[in-house]
Amino acid sequence: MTISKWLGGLLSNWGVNDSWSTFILYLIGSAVLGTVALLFTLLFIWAERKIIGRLQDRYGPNRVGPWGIFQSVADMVKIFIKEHIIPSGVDPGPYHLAPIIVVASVLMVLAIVPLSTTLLGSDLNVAVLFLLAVGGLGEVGIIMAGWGSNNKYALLSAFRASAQMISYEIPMAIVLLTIVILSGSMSMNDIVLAQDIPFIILLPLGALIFFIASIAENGRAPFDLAEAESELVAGFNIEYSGLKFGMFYVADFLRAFISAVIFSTLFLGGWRGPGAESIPALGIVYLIIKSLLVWFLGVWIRGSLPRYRIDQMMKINWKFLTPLAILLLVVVMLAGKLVESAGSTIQAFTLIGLNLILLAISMWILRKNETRVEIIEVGSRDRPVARPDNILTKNPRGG
Amino acid sequence: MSVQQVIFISFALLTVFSAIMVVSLRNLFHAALWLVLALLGIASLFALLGASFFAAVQILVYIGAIAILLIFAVMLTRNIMSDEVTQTNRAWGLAVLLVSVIFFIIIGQISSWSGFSQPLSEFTYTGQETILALGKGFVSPSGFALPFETASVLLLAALLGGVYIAMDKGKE
Repeated sequence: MTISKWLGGLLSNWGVNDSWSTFILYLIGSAVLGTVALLFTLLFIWAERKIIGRLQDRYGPNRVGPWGIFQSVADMVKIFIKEHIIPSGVDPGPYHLAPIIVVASVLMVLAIVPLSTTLLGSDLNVAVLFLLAVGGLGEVGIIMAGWGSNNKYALLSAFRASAQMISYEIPMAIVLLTIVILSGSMSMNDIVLAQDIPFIILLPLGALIFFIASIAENGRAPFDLAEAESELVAGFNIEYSGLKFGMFYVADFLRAFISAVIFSTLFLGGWRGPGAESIPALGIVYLIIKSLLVWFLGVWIRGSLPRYRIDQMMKINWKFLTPLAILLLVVVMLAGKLVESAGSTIQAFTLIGLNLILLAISMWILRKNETRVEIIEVGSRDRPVARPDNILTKNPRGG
Repeated sequence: MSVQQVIFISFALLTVFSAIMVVSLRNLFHAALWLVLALLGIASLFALLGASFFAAVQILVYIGAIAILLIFAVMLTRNIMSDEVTQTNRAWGLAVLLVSVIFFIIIGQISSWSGFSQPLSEFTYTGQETILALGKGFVSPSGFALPFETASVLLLAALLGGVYIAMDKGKE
């Protein structure tokens, strides 16, 4: 805030008029936010590889720097100096634009996230819609990549990815609607301010649906069908090399974190926490801590669960998440109106109760319809496990 | 020139240019992508007017859903990607004539309207009030409740029709 005032004063001293100086300030702000986010991605890539390594009884990156922390820097330098191969027969326009659009669609989401009481990119009054709309831009980017590559695997994968993203946008949008009903606003800042009780407590089922849908939207395991190596070689980015591949890679990892930021803004109270109103800088810390927790949960799931088949993926969405989300929306709407006069405590308890009942009923239906698959056990249950004493220790053989 | 004007002119030019590209390109896939750009330009014009709801919905519905559907349809249609198809048929001269006549009639009619030369007044709503006003306009009986409900019934009918067509009727 003070920096922006100082810069604004500087610009008006130079004889820049007001509208231009606002424009320039916004430009600088977005550039800073984008750059910081992209630099943070380097850390996220390292952390995710390290965590997944530990989950899979490996060391993970361990050569460059202490605990391998500079591995992604080394990777970045490698990607920069790699030869840039353009396969013959590509459609140049879509092929070259696609990585930029994908990265931009991820970064644009950051513009609406309130980072603390005073610090936010843009208090858009339709932020919730903007969130969904930007997801649509990402789909266009992926289709362009798949088409422009002139490769049947890339095209098939782009079809899969966009079908998945379009499908999972629906339960996500419906859960967002219930949040809009509860907070009475579509602006992210108002949603954060409305969370005296975090929405994850009021809407546990909604949070669950949103979390699953956002994993699928990111195309991460167990929903990483778009890059099923055994079927599609490497997904829609198969024909990309060097920096362009790097952009897809960065977009993938950054999207995982940004969707965690969105989740914690919508359900965990965003920047709110003890003392965050008086010291805005604390808000950013709270937001990052909450997002890291959600992000870690995502990485954990990614490291533990096997991939779904495409028909299972579609079934989960259309036969489970979507009906459940619609039911939740109707229930929240009716309950909100019926007990509106009863005071906020009773309202909160009704919401929690209804959520849990819905969850229990849906779980019961799932349990009833489940078909057991006999799994023949191979080998024994005891297996040797690499057990580092301390996950951060260095030992002479690496790690 | 203020920054708003610069942005408006560049986005308006972009929109018109990409709209021309949509109808003049041979490659249907490229035409669809230019259509995405044209729709994005329109969304940014909405945003410049302060109609953020329309801007977001324009992107969400037209780019997120319709343009993607269009691209799918283009990609899955056989032989449509070849460049040999001619874009015009014999009636193009007549069409140009009719379109320009209608254009001038519309422009003539609008320019005689009193609101035509009047500059836009500042938006009085702030924040959520914009959307609240819009929503109330849609559902209040004195507003647009009837057209709104009619449109939703029409969409429901289209949805049911789609389900009916897609249903597997072979199993008797």
